[in-house]
Formats: sequence, structure tokens, C-alpha cells
Amino acid sequence: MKTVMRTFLIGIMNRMLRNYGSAGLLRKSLISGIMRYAPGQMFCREFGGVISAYLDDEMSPDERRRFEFHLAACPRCLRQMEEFRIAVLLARSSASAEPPDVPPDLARIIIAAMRSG
Amino acid sequence: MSGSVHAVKGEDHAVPRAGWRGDTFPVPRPESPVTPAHGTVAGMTLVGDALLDYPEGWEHVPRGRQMPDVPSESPDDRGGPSASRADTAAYERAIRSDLPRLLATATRILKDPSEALDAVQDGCLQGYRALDGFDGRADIGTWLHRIVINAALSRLRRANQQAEEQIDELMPEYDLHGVLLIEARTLQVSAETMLLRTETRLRVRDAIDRLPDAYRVVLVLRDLEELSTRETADALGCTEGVVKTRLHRARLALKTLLRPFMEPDE
Repeated sequence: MKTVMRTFLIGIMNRMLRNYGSAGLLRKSLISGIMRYAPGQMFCREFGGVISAYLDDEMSPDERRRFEFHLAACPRCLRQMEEFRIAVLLARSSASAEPPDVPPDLARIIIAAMRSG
Repeated sequence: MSGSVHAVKGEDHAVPRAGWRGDTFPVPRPESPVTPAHGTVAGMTLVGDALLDYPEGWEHVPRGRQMPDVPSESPDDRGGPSASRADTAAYERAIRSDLPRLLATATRILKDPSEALDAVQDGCLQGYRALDGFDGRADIGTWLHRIVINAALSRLRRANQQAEEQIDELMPEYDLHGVLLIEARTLQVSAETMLLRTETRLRVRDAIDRLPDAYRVVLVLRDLEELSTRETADALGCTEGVVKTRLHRARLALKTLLRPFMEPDE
């Protein structure tokens, strides 16, 4: 019986190692799984709904703690967070793009229209 | 709008600014009396959140909304201001120096350069007509910038009367257990690297322009024009909650649209 159990467990471990590539990744994944499903923790869907609140600093300390706990445990959400952060940075930086061409007479035309009432 | 209402002495040119969803509210003058939200005020009966009766020339304004200090677009509001010559000179200087910025802002909101040009001219003329209402608390350039934003939004609303588009297909997907369906790989690119690419600016601008207007405008006002949530809500005539929700969904959609650009080999 003992031998059967040992073979069974070794089989599972081998399969998981094949899926995860290395013992380090497997250990990390197991820890992530345990952390992710710990009581009171945030799940991916909730996490995805509050990324803006985190970046805009609109979270309560407790919410922030739960957010960061999930972020540390979930590689998928970590990636989503990175993509989100980059998208926001790129959007903001696009504001400093070269200004549009202003017709040379525009200011004069507007001011003339103002003065003429 | 479920908020309580209070009475504001109306103006001859009240309610120029339609909200994003058809809301309206009057543009105040500094001397406009603002009454408390509950109880009996100036002979008017307030029951609960409703103003039952108010005299001619008074408008109701949703409680808690910060009323924008911007000029009217009403055709009644014609004619030049009685502003001082110094104010007029400062205003003309602001127009001359800020035109590129104003045009860039209007273009981002309207996407169409010729429409943007018209919006800038409208805004500058509206600002001039309302110059005597400018109290000098804000920088005149900032004041003009807000007016041009309102003029551009007004044009966008007029041009865009169709049903609101959806961006659900650009939202992240989750499995039945609420787990995000995305490959858990580390990104190989940083924002700094992407900014160095020459095509980045065009790709980002194109992605922003592909967002539905209701979301795009919020993203433009909050992330590009750097308005606060409150200022954005005032400009659009909606609540701060709506602004936050739309901003978040706009950013999520933008992320989805830019993902192929972040990982070109995927």
C-alpha cells in the first residue's frame, strides 16, 4: 500500500513538474495558490475592477493591503497590472505629443471677431 | 439624478450646457444667491429632495454639483463685456500664447481638426463675452482652457447623438471561478522602451481614438488634460462615480488595444 501511494505521489509530482518546468516554479505556484485562496483575499475579478483606484491612490489602507496581497500572489494579475500601468503612462505621455499646426492668422482672426462684437 | 435640489436665482441666459446624458444646469454668476438644500427658503417649499415650487427665473440644480464658472453659449448672451482693459489685454495675450494647447485639446476631444478649430474659436468668443464674470481667482489661461473644453464637448454632443457604443469586448475575460484568462508571463517591455519607439505616439493616439466617445472623452480629460475627477464630472454633467467607472473601463480597453504593441511577438 505504501509503495502504491508513493508511486502515485511521485507520478503527480512528475506531472506537475512537467507542467511547471521546474521545482522552483512549482513551489512558487503552490504558494501563490495558497495565498490567493486565503480567507478575505481579493480575487482576480475584483482586482481587475480596482486597478485604477490603486493607481490613482483612492483606496483605503485595508483595500490597498488586500490588493497588494493578491498582486504578490497572482502572476496573471501582475501582468495585467503592468500592461495597465504602461497603457496609462503612454496615454499620459501622448499629451505632450507635438501640437497641431495652428493657422498663422487664427489668433488675429479671433481677436478681430471679438473686437467687432 | 437623485440628489436633492436647491434653488439658484436664474439668469436670462441660463442652462447653456447640456450634460453628457442630457442633464442641464445653469451657469452661475458670482453674485447668484445659492440657497440651502432643505427646508423653506425664500418662500419656497422644499419637501425631502424635491423643490416643489419656485418662482419664475429660478432653476433647480442637483445638490452637491460644483457649478462651473464658465460662460454661456446662449444666443442671448451677445455683445462685448464690460471687463477692464487690463482683463481684455490679458485675455488676448492668453489667446495668442495658448492657441496651440487649446487646439491640441479640442482636437483630442473632437478628433476632427476642422471641428477643433471651430470649437477653439467658439470658446474664445464665449470667453470674451463672459469676461466681466471672470473673477481673477484662477489663471486666465486655465479659465480659457476650461471654456474651450466645454465648447468642444458641446460640439461633440451635437455631432454624436447615436446610441452609446459598447466596449465590453475590450474588457478582460475571467473563467467561471473569476480567474483572469491571460497568460502569466512577465512583460518583456517597459513603458520607457516603448516611448523611445517612433511609432508609439501614433499607435497610442490611434488606440485612444478607437475608444467609444463616452469613454474616450473621460480618458482625455482625466489622463491627458489632467482635470480632476470633479472637474471632469462638471464638464460632462455626470457624477464623479460615472467618471471613475468610465475612466477605469477606458483604461482597460486601451490596455487591450495596446497589448499587441507591448508584446509584438505574441
